[in-house]
Amino acid sequence: MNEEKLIDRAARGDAAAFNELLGAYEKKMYAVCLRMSGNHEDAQDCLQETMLRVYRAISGFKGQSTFSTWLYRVAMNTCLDELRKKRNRTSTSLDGLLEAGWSPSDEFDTPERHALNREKSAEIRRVIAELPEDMRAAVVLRDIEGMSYEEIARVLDINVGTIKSRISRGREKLREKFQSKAELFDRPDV
Amino acid sequence: MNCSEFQKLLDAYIDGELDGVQRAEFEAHAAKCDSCAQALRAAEQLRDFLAHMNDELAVPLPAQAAWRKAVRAEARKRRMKRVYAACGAVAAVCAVTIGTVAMLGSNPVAPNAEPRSVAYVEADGISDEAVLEDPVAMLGASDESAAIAYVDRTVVSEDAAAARGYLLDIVAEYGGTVAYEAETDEGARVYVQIPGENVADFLSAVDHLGVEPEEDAPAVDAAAQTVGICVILAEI
Repeated sequence: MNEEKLIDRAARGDAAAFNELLGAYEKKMYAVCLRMSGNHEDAQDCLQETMLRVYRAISGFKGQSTFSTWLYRVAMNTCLDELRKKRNRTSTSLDGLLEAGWSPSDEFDTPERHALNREKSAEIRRVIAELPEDMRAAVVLRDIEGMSYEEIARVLDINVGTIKSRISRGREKLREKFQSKAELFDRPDV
Repeated sequence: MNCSEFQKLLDAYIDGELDGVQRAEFEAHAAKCDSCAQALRAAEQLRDFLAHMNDELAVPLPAQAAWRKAVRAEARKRRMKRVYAACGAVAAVCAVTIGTVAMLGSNPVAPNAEPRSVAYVEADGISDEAVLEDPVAMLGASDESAAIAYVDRTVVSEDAAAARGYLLDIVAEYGGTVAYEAETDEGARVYVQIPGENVADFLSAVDHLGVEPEEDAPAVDAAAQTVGICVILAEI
């Protein structure tokens, strides 16, 4: 069944159509949640909340953007909301946790971990998690999800100029951090 | 081009946004300036690393199960709201009817509803009014008149024990019971009984645990009151 039909059926409350439709986007949504939250536990919560929001709102999806863009927007808004909630809940900042030696990637064992060098994988998640949220969102969508500036602007509802500026500043910060961790990447110049 | 101009164009170069002339000037500068060439290599390596970060990413089974469970709960809540709304409407009609009957002095006649027989299904056999306590003994049973079919699902996951936990949650969620469990060479077999009206939703939920459905599996008759299902929990 094509996506349009699945959206139509899901919007009319067909749970099986909803599961099939969202099952196809599950990995992309989870990846966004993981890169934004920095750890699997929070990513699971963000994914669940994203899917619930989509389920509640899909009947209002009018096709003004692509379904994929709309989904990314819901996922990104959910992640940013969850990050804000978490920041308000805890008096310990992420920076404080990171300084104390907490690693956002040390909680679940996944196939991803087996494929990538463990320390390297942890380090890259750590430095991404250290980026300010606005820069992190733009860098995740551009450099990890491979979206165009225009798509990112639609997802984040911000103009392209601002997106470019955030990505540029985010990359600069990442490069600075990676240069200071060059030995981890087996590349003397990274 | 000087180093400052080079740095300003670095992201545009990485994103492939420079035109031919700009790109040539940019690359010519990198060829003669070591520090800018090093900055370019770092930027390219970071770009490549980020672009492949998700290649090996797999959604953990608990995360897959959690959102589906939450959505099912939400769907159930919606259904219940509709049922309550319908009940409210029916109650209003009943109140009017009872009032009318009382005024006329008549007695309402109860409908003569025949209780439906319960059918259980196992392997290639079908048996009405049977209890699925010993599926092995039922393998030879058959009843051509029964209008329900055997359903089989194989859940392939990295952790059969975790998959069993999710399966039991789903069974409970859909008002089913576990009739029998057995260890076999292909994996743990879990025989469950699910109310007929929930079978489609139940199978849909099970299918998201990493299932390889039988391609030629016969359709389940929606009129069946209870359907027996065998779920095989195989590990990768």
